[in-house]
Amino acid sequence: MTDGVITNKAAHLHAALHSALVRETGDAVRIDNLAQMAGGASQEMWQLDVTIATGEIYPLVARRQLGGKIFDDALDLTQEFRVLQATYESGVPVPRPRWLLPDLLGCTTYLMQRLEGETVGRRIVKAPELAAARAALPAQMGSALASIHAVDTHSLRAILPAPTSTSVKGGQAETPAQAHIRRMESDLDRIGEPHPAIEIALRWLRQNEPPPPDRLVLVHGDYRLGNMVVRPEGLAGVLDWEFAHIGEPAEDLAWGMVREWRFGMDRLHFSGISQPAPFFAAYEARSGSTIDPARVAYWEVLGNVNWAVGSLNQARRHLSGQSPNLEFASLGRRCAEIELEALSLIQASTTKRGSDAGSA
Amino acid sequence: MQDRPDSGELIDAVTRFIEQELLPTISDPRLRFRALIAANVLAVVSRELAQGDAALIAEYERLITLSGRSDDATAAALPARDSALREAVAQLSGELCAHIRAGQFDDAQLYGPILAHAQATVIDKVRVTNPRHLERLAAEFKTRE
Repeated sequence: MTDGVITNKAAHLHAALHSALVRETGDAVRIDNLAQMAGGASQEMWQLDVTIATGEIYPLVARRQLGGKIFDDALDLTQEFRVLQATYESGVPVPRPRWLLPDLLGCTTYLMQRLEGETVGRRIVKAPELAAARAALPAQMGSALASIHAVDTHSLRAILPAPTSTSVKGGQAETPAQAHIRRMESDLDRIGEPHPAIEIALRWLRQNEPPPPDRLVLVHGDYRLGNMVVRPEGLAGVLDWEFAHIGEPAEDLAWGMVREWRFGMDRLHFSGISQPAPFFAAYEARSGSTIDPARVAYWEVLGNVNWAVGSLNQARRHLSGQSPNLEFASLGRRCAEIELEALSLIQASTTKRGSDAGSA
Repeated sequence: MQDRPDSGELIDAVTRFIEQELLPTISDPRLRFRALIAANVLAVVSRELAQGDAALIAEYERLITLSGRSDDATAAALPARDSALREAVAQLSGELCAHIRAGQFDDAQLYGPILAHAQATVIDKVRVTNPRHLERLAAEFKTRE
């Protein structure tokens, strides 16, 4: 019976997609191999192969928005499609965006190129057949990130949330870091569970903030393994743009350093595949800017605190009954590990500063 | 008093069922992943039951000291009931959090004991939620020295 329901749903979607694409292209359209892929509570993903007229076959993915958004600060599918267009046109390695269908059976849907490759972080850091990819990835990810940060944000500012003020060196305006801290504090207040370690880390972030950034850029917002399509030769594309926003480069540069995204290969500080040097070097070469490691270290602490608060938020989605889900529930108990990491980083930075001062 | 198996023994039985009987039959990788999470969650509960309220009492005593109430016998008395102890810890910890955010522990001398408390609390939690993580961290720091 379940199979029948799924088949029915697929047939229904198949027909709707077909007429929408005929309308979009003004040509004959053939859709093959439509099948549902992994999805989330509020999104559906389908794979399909589309042939326009008698031309080539396009392997595609359809993303469909079902209900509300997962996170308040996440983009909706229309915004995500626009960001994908802007990055694709700027030469960032991303799946080619194809069609935005604002109302397909009542849901916003978009179609993009389907990139084949491995996306699971735990496999990318370990799989023997991806050894060459791991050697190439740090530089490829550094270079791709520089190209993301070079995307002209002028037209994007109208679509993207800018939690930060547009004034960069104004002094009065809230910096990207301050905007994150304020949001995390308000999340904690809403959650209502005391976390002294997180409060200490937030206080440290307030007191040790680097000077305001000298440029604001398009930030991917979740730049790490898990959101990269990886093939034996390396990076094939950057996925998952729902957290894109205007912010400072160090946010993306530091996120892959966060222990969680080393997938158990803890000694390899960058994404569990290398030390930061090759990633930074490629970013610097492509962007022409110099990375301040202290600034990235600050954002690594912020990233950990952000992930700690994020895990509590996920657990609340389970507890509130909004999305009852074992994985979300278990994340509530993962928080302690992440708090420990934030405290350790803070302690190491204080010790380091102490010994630097002592030797000066 | 209930008959045996007690709650810990029941949980261990379910964990064993998931790991030894259920998992080998699951081929869908996403379902497998969730079954592994289920087994892991039960292992957390099992460790938490075995630990009893030792960590909670230690957290309570640190919070009483930090709040300067250790000389006040009435305030410092350990709540007799488990639920009252939990409430007291949540209350004291919430007050501590508000003070940290307001900057009342910025001073280096005050900061040390607060940091030590937060660290001890978090480590006690990780002992229950993921003891292997602590072992890995210890090994990592050892080789770094």
